[in-house]
Amino acid sequence: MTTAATLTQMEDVIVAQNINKWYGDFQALRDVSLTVKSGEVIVILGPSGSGKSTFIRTLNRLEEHQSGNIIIDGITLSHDVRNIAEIRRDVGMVFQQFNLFPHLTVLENVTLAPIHVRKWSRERSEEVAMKWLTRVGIPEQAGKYPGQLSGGQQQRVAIARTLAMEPNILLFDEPTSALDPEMIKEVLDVMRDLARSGYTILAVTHEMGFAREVADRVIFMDAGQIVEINTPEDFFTNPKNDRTKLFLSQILHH
Amino acid sequence: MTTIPQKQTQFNLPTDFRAQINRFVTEQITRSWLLTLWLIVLTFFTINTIVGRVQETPVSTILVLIVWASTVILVAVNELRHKHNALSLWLKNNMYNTITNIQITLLIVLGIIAAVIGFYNYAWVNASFLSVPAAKYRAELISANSQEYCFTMGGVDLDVSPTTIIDQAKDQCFPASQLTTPIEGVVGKVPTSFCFDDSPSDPENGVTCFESLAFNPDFSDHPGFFVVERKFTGANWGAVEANMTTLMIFRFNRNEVWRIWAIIILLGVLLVPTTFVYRESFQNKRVRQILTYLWLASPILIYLFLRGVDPVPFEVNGPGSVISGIWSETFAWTGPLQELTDAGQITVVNGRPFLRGDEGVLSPISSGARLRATFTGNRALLGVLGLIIFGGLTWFLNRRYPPKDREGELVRFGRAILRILLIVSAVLAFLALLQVFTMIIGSLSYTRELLVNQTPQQVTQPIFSSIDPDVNWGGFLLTLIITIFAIVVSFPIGLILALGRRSKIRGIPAWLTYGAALVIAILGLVNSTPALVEAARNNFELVLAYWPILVLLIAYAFQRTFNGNVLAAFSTLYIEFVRGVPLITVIFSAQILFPILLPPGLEILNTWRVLWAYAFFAAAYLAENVRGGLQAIPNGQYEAADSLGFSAYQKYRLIILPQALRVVIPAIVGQFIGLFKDTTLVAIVGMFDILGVANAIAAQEDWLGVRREPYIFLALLYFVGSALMTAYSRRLEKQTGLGER
Repeated sequence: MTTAATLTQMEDVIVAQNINKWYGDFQALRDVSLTVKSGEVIVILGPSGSGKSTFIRTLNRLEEHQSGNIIIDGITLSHDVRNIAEIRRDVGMVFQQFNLFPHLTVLENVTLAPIHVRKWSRERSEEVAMKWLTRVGIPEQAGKYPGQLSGGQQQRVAIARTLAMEPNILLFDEPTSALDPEMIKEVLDVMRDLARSGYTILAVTHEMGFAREVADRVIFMDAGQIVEINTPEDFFTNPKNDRTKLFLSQILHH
Repeated sequence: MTTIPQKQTQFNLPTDFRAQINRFVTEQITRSWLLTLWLIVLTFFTINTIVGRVQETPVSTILVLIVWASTVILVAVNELRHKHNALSLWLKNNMYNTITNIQITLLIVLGIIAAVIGFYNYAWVNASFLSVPAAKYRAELISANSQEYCFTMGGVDLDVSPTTIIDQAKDQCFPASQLTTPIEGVVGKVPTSFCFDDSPSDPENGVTCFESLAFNPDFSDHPGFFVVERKFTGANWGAVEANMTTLMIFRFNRNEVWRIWAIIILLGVLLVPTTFVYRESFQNKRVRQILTYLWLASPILIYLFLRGVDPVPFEVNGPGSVISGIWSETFAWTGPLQELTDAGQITVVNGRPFLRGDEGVLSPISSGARLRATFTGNRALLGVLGLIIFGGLTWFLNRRYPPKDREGELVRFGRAILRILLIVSAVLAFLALLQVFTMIIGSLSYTRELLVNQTPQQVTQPIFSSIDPDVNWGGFLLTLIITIFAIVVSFPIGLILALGRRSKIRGIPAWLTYGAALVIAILGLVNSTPALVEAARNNFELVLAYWPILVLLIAYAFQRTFNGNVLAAFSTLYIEFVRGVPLITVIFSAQILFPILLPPGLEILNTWRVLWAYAFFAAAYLAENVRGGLQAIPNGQYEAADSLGFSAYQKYRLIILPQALRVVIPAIVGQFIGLFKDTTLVAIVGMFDILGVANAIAAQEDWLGVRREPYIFLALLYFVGSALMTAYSRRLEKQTGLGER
């Protein structure tokens, strides 16, 4: 958070150039290019199968891209394991299915990476963990196991786990899609809070309200391509692309 | 909707009773003539059995009959009333739901009771617990009067004295009323023979017969000394009792049994704190850490106790010379000096080498010669030196030029070379340390009294003198050694195999595989095939001559199946090969085939070969169990670990394996129980585990043909062992299952 704030606002933290990716014969990403400045909040929209999840997963190498360049914080993503490790330490990710470690308590879930990846002491890690658990509003659940929490609480633990590594960039991969409607709000509140704290955020989501409210730019993807990049006001009120118009009409008038 | 309450009321009508009986008869008895016939036969058989059992054991049988009849009546009445309680409902559903089942329930209960009573009589009531074999069992008359006869009873050692009771002497009196026939002559004065029956009404209980030794002309002066024959119809536990030590440790040097006790005490001392230190409520992490280290060190100690170290090659005179001996052994006594020693030109005095000059003058070897010898021939010292030099260099370089995240290829290569050199010298230094350690351990000696050829002598010997496993390890000790070794060693191997089989590393590229295969195939076709075709005597050999084509096929299969992934290919082939071979074959190969394949001069102990055979065999099965657990872990866990920046090793150690292993605890423990019982197979390659010893008991002169009792004892032992493992597995599941609630 602090590091993000001290960075010059104009620095390009994510540079993606002409990313292509195939699954066998199926092309999932076609010449996707995007530059994200530090502190920017970007929401990626698009119909399912349009490659939005694939795109943000290539950014921390959960998926391998076959051509194009990805430069994060000045480090080029390549086969070099050390580069990948360095990038992953700086890029946090929140998943649709939370992916908490079920054999560890909430506190252990949050402190595991700081202790073993950042090599912090247990005391410092626990201090940081409790700080973030408090920030997401569930410090009292620290001793419980993930299976004993509700979906919304689990997702907030997952966010705390990601933040405890003190990343500069946050990737959200449909964080509210697996949640009941009343739990979506508690997660969105946390995300809004984070968006205002200076993090660079890329979020794949279907929450239009969230996009309209906090996004600096909205990206619309279809069939593996970026179709439209726009400010949220223009995107929702005055979309340029036909495909975007169709998508919005279906979303907003269902 | 309306018919159901109507039926309810209908059942409560008085006519309902007759209707129910009618329905019962048609459903249960007269439904088909086959059923009726079967019931008649079954009823006849049941009555027959009941009559037989009542005559045999009236009390228990009648008791069972009463309980059975009353519960049957209870169920029938409750069924008619449509009002069941918990007991009658359970009985109705599980035991008494048809006439056949009612009878079979009774038959099974009677059968179980008959078996239990039979076993109880065999193993306890009519059993003999005398550990002195019948052939050596004697009695000496103490006193005789009209009321009772008293004897000192016990075993003799026929080789030493046939008329002196030395073994387990015990005084026992028999009342005169138990005599089967009146005695002719005066007991103790003239040769007599007589029998006592302490339970005349029970034909199965044996009689105890005495026959005076004086019937034998050689011992006519011993009329009061008797050969006793106790006729038992039950188990002969003496065979197990007399051979207990042999069953447990077989030929383990009886002078060194204290080592076994030391191991048991060591494990006991570690086990007691383990029960509470590893609980979550136990807060002191330091104590837990120390205990873990002790557990990790325990195999080394146990090995030291069970195997010892080889005799020390230098003489030990006083405490100071131990150090000089180690010095000369480790650092100087090598290379060129060894040649002089072999030529007989060097004499060792107090562990120091001296050059033997003319007329027997001893001159100390110059330090220059020592130094030269040290550098030319001693890897241990090289290791230590290497550690100092390369360690210092690494330390200096890291201080002066700290490693950066991105360095040139050349710098990285240089650092890697330095690291490898450091590791090599560390290994050499470790071996040197081990050598010194072995020598220190081996030089520890003590003096004690030992029986040497039946006479006590003061013997000075090393505490951890070497023990030959092939001779000394046997019995239950060997069973436990094989089991524990196989479990401990197969676990990491199995883990690596499982991970290897699932690995997705970048394999050998296709062009390289096919290129290499093509080169080999062409070379083979050019160089080897023509000669083989020439020499072929039949069509089969003609086909074999074209073996290089097979190389191409193998290359294709390797690329097609494993994408060039050597790790996965090796793991898969290993697992499938071992799983496709019976354990007996593996043990046979280890024992008979493997020594042939070894280069001449190299010999590995039988015991080691069998131990490793078991470990490698178990590893393949374990790998498949673990792989099952790995497959149960959702992909999201891997992704979460990756996205948080864990290294591959951390990912598996902290996140994947703890979850995967927990899933497969029951399967793994099941496999280990199977392994525990499969250890008996070593008997077929001539090693004596506890089953081998049990078989040998039946071949002993004293206990000829006594087979059943040792087997029952064995069954009990194996059952207890397996039950303990199961109990531990349950506990483990409960402990680790914490997060799943």
